[in-house]
Amino acid sequence: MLACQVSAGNYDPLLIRAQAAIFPKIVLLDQGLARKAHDDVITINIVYTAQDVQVAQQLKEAIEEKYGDALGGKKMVVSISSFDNFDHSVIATAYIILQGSELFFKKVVSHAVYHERIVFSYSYADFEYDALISMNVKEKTYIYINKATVHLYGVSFMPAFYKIAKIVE
Amino acid sequence: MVKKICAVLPVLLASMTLHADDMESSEMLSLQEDMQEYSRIATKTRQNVDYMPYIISAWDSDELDQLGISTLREALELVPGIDISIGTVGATVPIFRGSNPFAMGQSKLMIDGVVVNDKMTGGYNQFMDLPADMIKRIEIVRGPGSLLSYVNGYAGSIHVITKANRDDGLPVAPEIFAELGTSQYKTGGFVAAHQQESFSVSSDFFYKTHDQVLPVAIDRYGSSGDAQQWLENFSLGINAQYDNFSVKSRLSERDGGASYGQSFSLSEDESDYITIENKYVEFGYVEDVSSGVTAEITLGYIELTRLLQNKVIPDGGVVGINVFPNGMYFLVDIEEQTFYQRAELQISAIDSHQINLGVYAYQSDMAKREGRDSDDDMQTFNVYDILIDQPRNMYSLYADDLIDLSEQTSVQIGIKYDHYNDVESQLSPRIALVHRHDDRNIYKFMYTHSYREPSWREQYLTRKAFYSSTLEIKPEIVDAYELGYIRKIDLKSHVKVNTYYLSNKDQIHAQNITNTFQNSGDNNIYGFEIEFKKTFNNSDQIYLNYSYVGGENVGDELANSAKKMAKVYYVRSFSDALSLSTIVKMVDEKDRIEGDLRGNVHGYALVDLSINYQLKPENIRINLSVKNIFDKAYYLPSPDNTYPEDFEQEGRSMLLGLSVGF
Repeated sequence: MLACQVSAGNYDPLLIRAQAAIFPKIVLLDQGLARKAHDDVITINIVYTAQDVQVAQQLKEAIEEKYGDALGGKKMVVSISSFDNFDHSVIATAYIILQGSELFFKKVVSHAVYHERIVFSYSYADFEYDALISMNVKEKTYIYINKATVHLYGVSFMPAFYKIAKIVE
Repeated sequence: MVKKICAVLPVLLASMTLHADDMESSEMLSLQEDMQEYSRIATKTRQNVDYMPYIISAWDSDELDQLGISTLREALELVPGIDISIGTVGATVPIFRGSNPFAMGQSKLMIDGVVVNDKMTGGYNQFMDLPADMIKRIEIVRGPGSLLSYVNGYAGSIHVITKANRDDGLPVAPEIFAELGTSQYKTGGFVAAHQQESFSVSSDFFYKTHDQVLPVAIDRYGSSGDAQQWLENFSLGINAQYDNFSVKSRLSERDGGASYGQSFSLSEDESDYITIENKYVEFGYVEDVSSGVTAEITLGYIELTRLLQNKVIPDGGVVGINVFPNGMYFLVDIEEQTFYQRAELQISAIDSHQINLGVYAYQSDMAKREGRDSDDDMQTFNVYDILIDQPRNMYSLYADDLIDLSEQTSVQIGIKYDHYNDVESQLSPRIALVHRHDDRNIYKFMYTHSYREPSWREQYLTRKAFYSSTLEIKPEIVDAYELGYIRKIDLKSHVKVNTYYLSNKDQIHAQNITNTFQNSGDNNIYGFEIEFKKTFNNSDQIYLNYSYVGGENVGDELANSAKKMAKVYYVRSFSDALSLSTIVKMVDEKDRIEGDLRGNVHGYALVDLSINYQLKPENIRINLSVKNIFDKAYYLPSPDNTYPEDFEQEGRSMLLGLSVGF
C-alpha cells in the first residue's frame, strides 16, 4: 500500500496520493497544452534526489494507477529522473520536483521556463526556488500558484483555475 | 520563502460560486471533486488533526507495529494524561486527566463509529484487549466532546478504526496475524476483503486466550492467592457496502476470570467467570443530496449480555452478624438491548462553513436482569431482579458549524440537546477557536459543556450487591476550558502544549461508608500536557509526553490517579526492515481518598523493548517484545475498604508476533 510505503524523508503519503491525482489534471488546464504534447503525448517527468528514488517511483505508480496511460484523451507517459542525470535534451510537458536544493531546482526550473513548461513542487516552501505550482492537504486541499514566477513561465491556465487556486506572493 | 499567502477564493466548494461559463470545463469539475475528496479523506483520517478544534492523539497501525503495541489498552497507556484504574471484576478503566477514576463511563469508545459503552456500567472493558493487528488507527480526544457530533464524551473519547473499515480511500489489505507469549498467551486472527465493482465486503476476526494470574497478598476476608485473569476472547466483524448502502456488524465475546471479584474479594473458586457477549449491527445509507450536502442515515441494534459467577464470600466468611459456612455465590444474567437511529445532514455548500445537523435516538431495554445468590455451593438459589425494570429512551438534537473566519482562523460552534425519559435532559454547548498563525504555529481555545448520564448500576440496583444505587441520581456535569499550542517543526516533528481547567459537578461515585453510588459534590481539576515528537535520519523517532494534573477528584483529594506522568518512546531503524523500539512509562504516586489511611500508591517506571522485522515486498512482519523488561513490581490502587494491599500488575512478559499481508 502506498500509505505504508512512502517513508523516505518528510513525504506525506496522503499528499503524494493527492498530488498524483491532481497535478495531471492541472496539466490539462494549461492553455498551451496542444503544443507541449508532442505527437499528442503528455509527458510528465518526476525529478528527484538520489535518496528519494522510491518516493518518485511511488508517485509515478500512483499517477499510472489513477490514469493508466491516457490523460484527457491524449496518451500519457510518466518518467522519473534524478537531478544528477537530468537530461536537457528531453522536453517533458510538465515537471514534478520532489525535495531538493536550490541548485537542483534551478537546473530544472531554468529548463522548464525556457520551454514554458509547468514545474510542480512537492512542497510550496520550494516556491523560493521558483517552482510554479504546488499543493497541500491541511484542513482543506489547497493549490498554490507562485505569483512571482507566473510571468516568468509564460504559462496560461483556463480562467476558472485561477478562481480555485491561491496566489502566493 | 513564502512571505504572504492571499486567498483568491476559498477552495471549499468553489463550484458553488463559479459562473456558469466556467462550469463548462469538465476538467475543472473533476479537479474540484478530487480536491474535495482529499479534503474529506484528510478530515476523516485525521491527517489534519493539528488543525482541528480538539486536543487529539492519533496512533496509526504502522506506529503501533514499530512499538510492539499489542492491544488497545497498551496504546491508550501511551497517551498523555491517561492513567489506568481497576474497577469491579477487574475491569480496566482508562482515566482521562484524573477525572473521576471511580466512574467507568467517563470516556466513550467508538469502534468504526459505533458507540460500544454498555448501559450497565457505562464502560467498555470488553474491548480493551482488541488486538492492535486489527486496528488501522486510534483517535483519542482528551477533554469533553468528540470528533463525532452525536457522541458526548465527558473526559475523553476513543475512536478505533479497524483495518477492515479503513476510511482513507485505499482498499482493505487482507492480513493474517498471530501472537504467542507468556502465560500461554495466544492470539490468532485475520483481516479479509473482497471487492467486485460497487460491492465490497470485509471482515476481521481474532481469538485470544491466556491463563494469566496475578498475586494477591490478602483480601478483606484474610484470603490470599491468585486473582484469576484468564481470558478467552474473540471478535468477528463483517462489513459490506453496495453503492450508498453499508452494513457494519460485530460479534464479540469476552470470557474472563473473576479477577478481584464483583465485591472486591478473592474468589475461592477458580472457575468463577465473567462473560460479556456483545453483538451489534448497523445499517447505513449515505446520499449526496446536492453538491456540498450529504445525508446520512443509520439504524442499529446492540445487544450485550453479561453473565457472572463469583464466590463473593469464602467458606466460613462473616458479614456483620451472619456466618456463611459454605460461603456465598453471586450470579448475574443481564441482557441489554438497544436500538438506535441517526439522521445527519453534512453541509459544506455554504462558503466557509462545515455544518452538521442531526438527530440521534436510542431505546434501551433490560431484557434480562436476573441476580441469584447461593449459600449452599449453588445447590439452591435465591433468584431476584437485580435491576429495576426501567427502559432508557433518549433522543438528541445536535448542530455544529466549523466556520472559517479567514484562512488562518476557524471557529466551531456546537449545541446538543439530549432528552432522557429517566434522567435530567441536558443542553451541551461548545465553542472552539483554531488560529493558524502560520504553517508552524497553531493556537487553539475550546470551551465545552458536557455530561455523563448515570449507568444502570449507579441508578437502578434493587439491592446491595457490594454497591447500591440512588434512583434520583443526577448526571455528572463538566465545564471544560482548554488551551492548546502546536509548534510544527516539520512534517513528522512537533511540540504540542495544552492546558485545561475542568469544573466538575455532581460527581458520581460510591466512595462512602455504604458503597452507594450518589452525586458526591463538585470539584475542579486543572493541568497541562506537553508532547514532543521528532523524526531524524529520515526514520528514527523519539516521542515524549509529560502530563500534570492538579486539583481534586474526590472530596479534597486527587485520588487513585497520578498527578504526574511521563511516557517516552524511541524507535531506532537499522534498515528499512529492522527496527528496535523502547517505551518508558513513568507514573507518579497516587493519593488516596479522604479517610483511606493507607499510604500513597507507589509510583513506578516500566520499560518495554521491541524488535520489529518487516519484509516489505512480502508484507511479512515479525515482532518480539519484552514488556516490563526489568520485572518491576507495580500496583494499581484498590478502593478503600476492599483489599488492604493494592493490585499487583503483571511482571516481565514476552510476546512474539507474526503478521502476513496479502
